[in-house]
This record gives sequence, structure tokens and C-alpha cells, in this order.
Amino acid sequence: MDYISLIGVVIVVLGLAVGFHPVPTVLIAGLASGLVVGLPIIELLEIIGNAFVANRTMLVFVLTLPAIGMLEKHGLKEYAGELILRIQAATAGRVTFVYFLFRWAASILGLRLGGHPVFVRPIVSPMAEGTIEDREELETKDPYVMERVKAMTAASENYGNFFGQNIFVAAAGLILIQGVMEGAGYEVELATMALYSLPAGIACLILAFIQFNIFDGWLKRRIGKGGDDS
Amino acid sequence: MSALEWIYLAIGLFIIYAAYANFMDKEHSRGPSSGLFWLALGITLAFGQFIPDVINGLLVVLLAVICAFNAVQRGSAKEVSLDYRQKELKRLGSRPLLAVLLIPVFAFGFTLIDIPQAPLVGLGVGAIVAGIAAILLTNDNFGSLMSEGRRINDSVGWAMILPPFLGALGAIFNAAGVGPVIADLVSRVLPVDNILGAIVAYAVGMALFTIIMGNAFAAFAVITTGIGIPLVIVAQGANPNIIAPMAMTAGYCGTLVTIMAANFNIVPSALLELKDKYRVIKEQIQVAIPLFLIHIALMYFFAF
Repeated sequence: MDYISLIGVVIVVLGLAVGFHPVPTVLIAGLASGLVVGLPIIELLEIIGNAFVANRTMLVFVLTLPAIGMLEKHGLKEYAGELILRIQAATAGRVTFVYFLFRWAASILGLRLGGHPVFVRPIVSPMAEGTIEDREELETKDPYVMERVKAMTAASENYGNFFGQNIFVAAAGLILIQGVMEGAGYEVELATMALYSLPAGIACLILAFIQFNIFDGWLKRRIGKGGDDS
Repeated sequence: MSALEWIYLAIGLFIIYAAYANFMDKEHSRGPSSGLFWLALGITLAFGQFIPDVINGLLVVLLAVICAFNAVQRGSAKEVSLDYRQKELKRLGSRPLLAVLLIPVFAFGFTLIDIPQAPLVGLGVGAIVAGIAAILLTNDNFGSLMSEGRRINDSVGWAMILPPFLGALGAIFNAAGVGPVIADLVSRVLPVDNILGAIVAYAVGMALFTIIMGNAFAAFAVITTGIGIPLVIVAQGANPNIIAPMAMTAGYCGTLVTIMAANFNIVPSALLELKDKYRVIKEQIQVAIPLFLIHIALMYFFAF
């Protein structure tokens, strides 16, 4: 076993731990791992260029930025924030949990909707922020509070996406599992695997519920508002 | 060109516009270097498939070098005032929200069409349609569409390239054979000759390799071949229909805590303009750790 190839992993971990810029750190790590196992530099450049171009899929969201930016200019975030004020019982944690449920259900139905740029930044985050009075003042006085509110909405998107998607029978993840298992000589059923993805999905739902509730409690203690007033 | 390649061309041209706007930005202290960064990225996005791999590789190295000097900074494009947005809210009400919802409608609608990568093409087409709808609904113009897009693009900054960049690192790790080494290491360190030990090795291997690669799909084949099949399914008799999907979501617990999954963890921090780029991960760890332990219990009770 070629343990020396782990040098790249070590470089990434150490580099990030001491606070180097992630992009050059990752590049050096990749080059190191490749060079120590004897891959020539030209081949490494080809692998990097090829993989970067192949992974453009992850940048399709960039095309949504002009529309999102222009709609923000014309009051999109303010509308989302105002909408949530009509709901008396809304708290940051509850808004976040309701979005989790929506995202989880959409995943289970196999819907891919655009995630962080389309829903979280322009709609869900402003709604969660909208439940907090004096947020303008907080941004300067205690910015950590608003950072956490926003981060929670981003996390709920990931929870719902990750732990709902494999409950959908035609999920890409299940098809990949089927391919790998068939290659190794095992027959597996998509429907059975979808069913046994449900327990983890429910566990995630319960944990998300607990986390967002604890967060509401924390918010209430921290700023005396934003929690349940009753 | 495939439909998706037309979408990439549109993205690349938008990024090249952002490069131009950075070059022309007189109040931008890092205008030229930021512009060069976006220009190099725009070229690989728009024309990557026509350029030799080695040139794309050099462009990617150039991106990293510019980052190393912290030379990618946001320009002077500012959000309009809160007063203006409040006025627009009174004038337009729910209409901007309806325009945004066109994006998911198209992303979903395209899944019904039989073309490769249909949801991604749908997302791209939806974005363009939403942009046109935004112009019509707000009586604003194309220039404003581009400059508002550039405003968010600047605020996301270098974090935008992390996802494909880490994909490239993953490709090198694969070529260097890191996966089998991890599988070997985990199965040596943990006592894999009993059911619990074998399950823990499989789940830890999935999470650990996902943390390194940023991608549970990449981890699954390597760890299942190296640990899952020989040590858990063959040696202990686990049901593959049950253990395999649980191993996959055990890997997703790793996705929640790694900066290598930049598209899920770092780009959203940038989109939300958080000061702490690791804030999302710090919140997700609180769920990821108990959820991972629950996975081990679920495997133990369901798969045998």
C-alpha cells in the first residue's frame, strides 16, 4: 500500500488548520500527491484541466445570479421578510424547520429546485431574518446572531436535500449503488434501498427539529426576542 | 454542442462580463487582478471543451496563483439603498417572488424532457427566463440585470471556483490511489472481525473518505469494494439491500462537515455573505455527529 500518496491529505488538513488560503493549498496538495506516486507534471495538469471542465455542472447556479440580483434590487428580500411577519408564531428556528420539511419532501419526490442561490439567499434567509426585530441594529451590535440565523437556513437546505434524496426510488445515489453492487455480483433493488433510506431520513428530521428548537431557545436568551413569546 | 454546453457558454460569457466590469472599475483596489481571475474562469467555463486539457490545467493553476496573493476582491458595486427597495416593494409586491419561482418550475419541467442532464439544463434555462421576466416585470433594463449579477458574483468571489477545483483534486487523489489506502488503513486500525467492528469500519471509511473527497459518490465505490463487501457483506452476512444505502447516507454525514464539499458548505456561506466561511459547517456538525452514530445503530439492527 502506497501510504506516501496520503501526503496530499496531510497538506490539506495542515494548510487549512493554520489558515492558508484553501485554493492554493488544495492545488499544492494535489500536485504533491500526484508527484510522489510518480505522475508527470504534464499529466497532472491534464487531469486538473479535464476534471475542472467536467465539474462545470457545479457552476450552473451562477447563471441564476443576474436574475436573483436584479429581483433583490426590486424588493424581493423585503417582500419575503414582510410575508413572514404576517405569521405571528414565526420564529427563526421554525421558519428554518418549515423550509427543511419543504426541501425534504421535494427531495423525496425527486425534485431538484435550485437550492441555496434560488431559495435560501433570496427567500428563506430573509424570512428567518425577518422574524428578528431590530436586526439592523444587531448586525452592528452582535453580528454573530445574524450569522447563525443565516447559516441555519443554509444547513436546513443541506439536511433536506441529503437525507431525503435517496428515499426517491430513482435517486442518482441509489442508481450508483446498484451499479457498484452489480459490478461486484450482488443484485439490489432500488425500491428496497429507497425504503431503507427512510430511517436515516426520519432521524435527520428529528435531529433538525431538535437543533432548530435549541437554536430558538438560544436566540431568545441572547437577544430576549425571536423565541416563543407565549 | 449539447444543450448543457450552450448553458456553459452563457455562464462563461456572464463571467467574462464580470471580468470586464472589474477591469473597468476605477474604485476597485484590486481591479486588474480580480478581472484577470474572472477572465481566466470565464474562458474555461465558456470554451473549456474546445481547449486542450493541459491549457485548461494551466488556467486553473493561474486561478490558484491569483488566490494565493489574496488578489480576488469585490469591486465597488453596491446594493441599492433600503429606501429604494422599500419603494419597489410597495410598487411591485409579490411580483419579484413569482419571477424567482420560474427557476424551479423550469428545473422541474425539464426533468420531463428526455435530454442528458435535463435538470441542470432546466436550471440554466429557468435562470435566463427569470432574467427576462425580471426585466419585464420591473421595467428595468439588461445593463442592470448584468451589473446586479456582477454584484453577487463579486461577493461570492473566489469561493465560486472551489467546487470544480476540489473535483480536480479528487481526480488526482483517484489517480494517485488514495482510496484503497484509506480503506486499508481503516480496516487495519479497527477490529473488523465482529459485526459491530465491521460496521464501524464501513461507516467510518465512508465518512472519512467523503470528508477527504468532498463527495460520497466517489467514496462509495472505493470503500464498498475495500471494506463493505469483503468485511461486512461476505464475512458478517449483512443484507446488501439494507447496508449499502445506509453506508451511502453515513457518507453524507461526512459531506456535512467538510470544506471539500464546497458547493454545499462554502459557496452558501459566500452567497449569504457570512464573515465566517466555515459557519455553515460549524452548525451542521451538531447534527452530523449524532446522525452518524444513529447510522451505526440502524445498520446494526436492520441489516442482519
